[in-house]
Amino acid sequence: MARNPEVEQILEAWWQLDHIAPHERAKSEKQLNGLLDKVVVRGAQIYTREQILDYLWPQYRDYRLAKKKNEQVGVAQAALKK
Amino acid sequence: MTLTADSPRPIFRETARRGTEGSVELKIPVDRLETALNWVMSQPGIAPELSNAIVGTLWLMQVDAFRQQEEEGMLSNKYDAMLNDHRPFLADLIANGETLIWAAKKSGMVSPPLKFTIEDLEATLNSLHATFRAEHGPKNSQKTNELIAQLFDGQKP
Repeated sequence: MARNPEVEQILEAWWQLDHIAPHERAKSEKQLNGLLDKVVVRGAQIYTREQILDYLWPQYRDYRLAKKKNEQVGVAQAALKK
Repeated sequence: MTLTADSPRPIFRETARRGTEGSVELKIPVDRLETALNWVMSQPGIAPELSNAIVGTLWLMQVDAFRQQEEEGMLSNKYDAMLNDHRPFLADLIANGETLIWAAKKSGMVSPPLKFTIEDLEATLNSLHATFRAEHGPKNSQKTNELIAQLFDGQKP
């Protein structure tokens, strides 16, 4: 089942923060927080960024695993080309 | 001398392999990295701004190695079994990051080759805090999760 596009955007921003080059991390964090704040505002600020991340955590674990698997496929394909 | 991810020390060379982008990827034993970190921090003659940059570089390498280890655990279905070790190791990483950022704010930090700033270190530290909260901290109630889910579902036509 396809994910909600907004959830997908947040998961990608979260993944970027965890994996991007060190000198890009402050910028990456701002991007993630900006996306989370949109949800916080829509929820009349009843929920915090942390609660939204907690809600998304199981999906984020699946997202990371999928990314890792894709990365391994990419490495294998690159090795085959050599 | 400054350590970077692209300048392997001889002791690490045995575990180095070529990455897909040409640079050397290192699997760095954490205890060796911690020994190096403690050694740098204990040197009396080193300028604090330089020491902070070196410690920052090593700490970022530790964080990257930690993320990689988490994902290898997920890939091999061993992640849940790793969680007992995950918690104290993550807490250590967070504590080291807190000390580093405190020191860098107090004494400054020279611009390292990897070009990261104190703000980048803080963002990295915050990402570790987020992992700690999500994996080991208090969980949302089922009701809260249902209500947050509705915030996202509300976007669907």
